[in-house]
Amino acid sequence: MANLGIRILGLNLEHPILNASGILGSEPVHVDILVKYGFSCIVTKTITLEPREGYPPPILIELDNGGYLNAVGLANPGVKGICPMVERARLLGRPIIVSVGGGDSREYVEVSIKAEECGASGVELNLSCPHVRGFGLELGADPSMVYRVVRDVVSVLKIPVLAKLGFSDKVIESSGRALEAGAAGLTLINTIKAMYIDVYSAKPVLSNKYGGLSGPPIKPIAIRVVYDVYREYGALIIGCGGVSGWRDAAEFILAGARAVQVGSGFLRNRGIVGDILAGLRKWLEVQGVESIEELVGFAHRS
Amino acid sequence: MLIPALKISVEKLSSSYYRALFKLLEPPRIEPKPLQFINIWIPGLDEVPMSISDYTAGDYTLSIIFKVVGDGTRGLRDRNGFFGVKGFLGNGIVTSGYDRVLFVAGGSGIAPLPFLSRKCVENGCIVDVVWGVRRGDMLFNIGKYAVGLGEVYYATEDCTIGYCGKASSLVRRIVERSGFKWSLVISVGPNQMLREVCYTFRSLQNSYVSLETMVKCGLGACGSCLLKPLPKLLCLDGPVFKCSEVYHILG
Ligand SMILES: Cc1cc2nc3c(=O)[nH]c(=O)nc-3n(C[C@H](O)[C@H](O)[C@H](O)COP(=O)(O)O)c2cc1C
Ligand code: FES
Repeated sequence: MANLGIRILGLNLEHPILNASGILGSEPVHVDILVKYGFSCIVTKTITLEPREGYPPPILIELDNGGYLNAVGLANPGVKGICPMVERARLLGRPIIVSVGGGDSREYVEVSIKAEECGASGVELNLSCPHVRGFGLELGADPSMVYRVVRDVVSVLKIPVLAKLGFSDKVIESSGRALEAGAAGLTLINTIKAMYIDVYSAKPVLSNKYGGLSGPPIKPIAIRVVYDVYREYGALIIGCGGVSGWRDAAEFILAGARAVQVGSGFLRNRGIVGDILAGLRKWLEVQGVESIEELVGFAHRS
Repeated sequence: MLIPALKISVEKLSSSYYRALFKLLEPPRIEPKPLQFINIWIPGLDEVPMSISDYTAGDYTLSIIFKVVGDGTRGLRDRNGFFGVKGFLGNGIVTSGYDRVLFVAGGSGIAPLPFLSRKCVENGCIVDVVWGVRRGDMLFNIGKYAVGLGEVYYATEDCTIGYCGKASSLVRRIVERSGFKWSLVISVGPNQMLREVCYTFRSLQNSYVSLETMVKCGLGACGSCLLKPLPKLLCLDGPVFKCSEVYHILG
């Protein structure tokens, strides 16, 4: 029987499919829902020090090319929301990674410390939110800032730190700097800054005008980034962007990802985790491989 | 998908309610079901969840019945031109297989009735209606917008029209007097009313409520529509639930 178990961040995960940050994950009952739908490890919504209301609607639209565009505005309960979610995940027997956001290095450090105190399995630094000023994208596109934030967090934490980066010209360099600063791994990639204009009213639809593009349209970009970063550094990578079936997950794994996060794909298909796992099992059988671990980065063999 | 929609008309129905009619400029991927909802985008202003009040497949017209409660709904009333329809959202209800349906509405809970009765008529069933409001001047003749209704009862808390009291008490009286004749009961309105109607029909299998919560994304991502403490999202798992699933969270 094909083995889909995978080891990342010192955790033995039943299978490599996690939820992407921002799909539910801002309160304990959301954790119940994500567990019910089968994710092997839960990732919270990005948490900032103070609670944030987020933007007014429209915050999310489905595009006719299969993608989604969102500008939720990092709505989250603040650090006081962390412990109840971690507690719930523990009761349900699932590891949980807290996604951390911040306007500066100090905020990332404080939120990360709280996550560790609450008993999270790890933190994922969101260095790449494309639609909230001062939270991310500019930061992730600046390799020396990435280095600083990751180093500041790593230096005070015992639990592993992931750096989540978005697409930019500097993503390979930023990945390298994050690893140099002590990140245990990288989550690649976040949404890509984009816009949708309604041609009848002649207005951008999202209340924030700009949003982050996710879903199938960004997958080939994400695959390329994972491929290049794996080739360059051979690091732990969690692939993310446009996974809507097992074939996409398999592609990320071959490019070098040890695990895969699913966001938009879950919005379209609540049964996606089961569908992906069934597909991956068959794929392993056809490939004649016992364990999925053997296929991580397999597209790089000469 | 955001379906562009042109506003055709708006009319005042009573002291509190308006009805706006839109034409969808692109055919939707699938037909709506009764009690599904849309998020309607008022360009540059807001996006608000609304029950589908009526929909005709032939010419893609869609209507909503609403109360003006803020900038968004004011925009729905006062603006003309183009809007955007995100939908159709939620689970809705299928009416085939029932012969006689009771629809209990509190206040603007009356909104989804026209499409429900239209679908019922297509499936050969009849809808009886109990509609309660606070003041008599909030009522309008729902029979003008909904086809194929059976009996229609009104209840007002100011005792000016119909039964003097709440819709849920009127329902109890009707049942006490003439028993159940419905194979399906659907209630839409304040939680307290839903709870009381569910209680009256506690022995009936097919007794449903349509709930309301804070809907933001409408697509199952943001989690703002969570029906705490249940692990259910209104925008995906609802708005329609069996009484037995949600009775204990109804106020
Ligand atoms: C509605 C929505 C909210 C999101 N919120 C966050 C967030 O808070 N933090 C974060 O790091 N990424 C967030 N993302 C990005 C996702 O985690 C993911 O990186 C991106 O959507 C690409 O994956 P996908 O194509 O599977 O959706 C969000 C995405 C969506 C669609
Ligand atoms: S409104 Fe966002 S999840 Fe239901």
